[in-house]
Amino acid sequence: MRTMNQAAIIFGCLACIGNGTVRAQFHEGDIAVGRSAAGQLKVTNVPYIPLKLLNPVSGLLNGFTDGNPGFNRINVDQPDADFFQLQAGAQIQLHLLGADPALKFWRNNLSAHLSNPGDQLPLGDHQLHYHGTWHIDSTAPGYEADQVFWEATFVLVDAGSTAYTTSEPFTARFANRANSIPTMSDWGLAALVLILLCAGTLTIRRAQRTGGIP
Amino acid sequence: MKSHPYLAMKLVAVLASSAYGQHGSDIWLGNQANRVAISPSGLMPESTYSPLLPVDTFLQGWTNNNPGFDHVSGVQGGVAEFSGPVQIRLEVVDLDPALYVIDNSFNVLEFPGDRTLLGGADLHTHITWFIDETDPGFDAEQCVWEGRFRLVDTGTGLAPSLPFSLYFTNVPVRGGEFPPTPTAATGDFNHDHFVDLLDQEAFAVCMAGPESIPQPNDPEVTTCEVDCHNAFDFDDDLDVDLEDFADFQRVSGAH
Repeated sequence: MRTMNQAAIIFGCLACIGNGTVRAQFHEGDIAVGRSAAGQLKVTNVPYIPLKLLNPVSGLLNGFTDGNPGFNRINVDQPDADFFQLQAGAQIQLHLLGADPALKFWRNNLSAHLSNPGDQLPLGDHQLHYHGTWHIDSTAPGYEADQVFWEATFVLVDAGSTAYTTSEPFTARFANRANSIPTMSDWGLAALVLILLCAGTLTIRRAQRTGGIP
Repeated sequence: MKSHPYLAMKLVAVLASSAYGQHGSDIWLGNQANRVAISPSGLMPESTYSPLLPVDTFLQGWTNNNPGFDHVSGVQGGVAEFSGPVQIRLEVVDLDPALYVIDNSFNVLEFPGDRTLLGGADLHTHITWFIDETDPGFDAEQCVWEGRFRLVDTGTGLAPSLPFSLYFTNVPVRGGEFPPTPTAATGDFNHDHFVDLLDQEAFAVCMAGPESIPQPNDPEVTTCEVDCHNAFDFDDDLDVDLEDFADFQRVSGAH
């Protein structure tokens, strides 16, 4: 029983370390777009798109920007995930449900941006691949210099002949400071602390069994 | 007359791009014989016109962020994926007047030697191509702008790529994004739903022979090579020649 308790503590510590390492690997890939078997539009990473750090800019635009993530249709069906390719006839639009003040999504030719509920833009057809510009506008009314995270929530709508039903809402999150996002070193430090705590717990338990600690 | 060194690989590129999970409309980069190279499995330079869309915001003219740049995975089209800490940069060799490149930090590239970082071994980025109609060098009669570039590795010292050109236009291109247009040439130059002698007269204005980009010079027909490509470039090799005429004859009288 004592061996199992020690093993449980060790494995528990290792599991915590492993989970921390996985969560630190933020993926910067495009938002995959497809549909369910029932014909509803779908994106990956619902309801939250992985957090994205934007880069500081000044001049033409001011604040923080990046062109990733984009939107890209899947080209291989994933039946186990109920995630299938779009079919010819689809005309997919991105509709904004709401966004934090100062957060904008510029069209790929910078001709307009989505920033207010109801704003929309066409992403493309069944072979869509679209990159706009995500922008935290430091000159916009409502921009808070102390704010760290910004969010915008969207749905996908099909205006084409395929008539797919509207997707579930999904939220894209952005940060403007590197130190707001846990890095590998942060997770590594957390793991080290956890190891030390586990080691300390084992030491205390061993001392208790030998009678060294009341 | 412009030549098309990459056209022979275009069919391979079209077939290959559909088999992979990458963006077929992007330019795929990798390593070929220790030189930064463009894979024929992606978009090939000098094989198409990239349409730019009107903009009237803090920019005035025409812009778009396609084509983008992506990385080869494995070996694709004889080009291998990057390995090691490569740092691939796009360098301007020459730009037509009024044509600019805006990178993701909104730096403007306009002079030979100007560079921007595209990324490392797993690069995937879209930068903004911009025709500035407020530029003193902007020519309203011009419909195609050429940008000439090369790719440089400042990370591991791969040899730079061969220079290559990208063609941008402010005229709608068939198969372009907005608005969606038919992707195949129809021969119906004047869009009257018939392919007839009127269109044949336009064909004569456009025909420049094999591997030569049309240079139409009849204001009553067109002075824009993209119009010729849209209507008469049946094999999509950017020229209008006797092969295209054979296809035009097949569709004459129909539509």
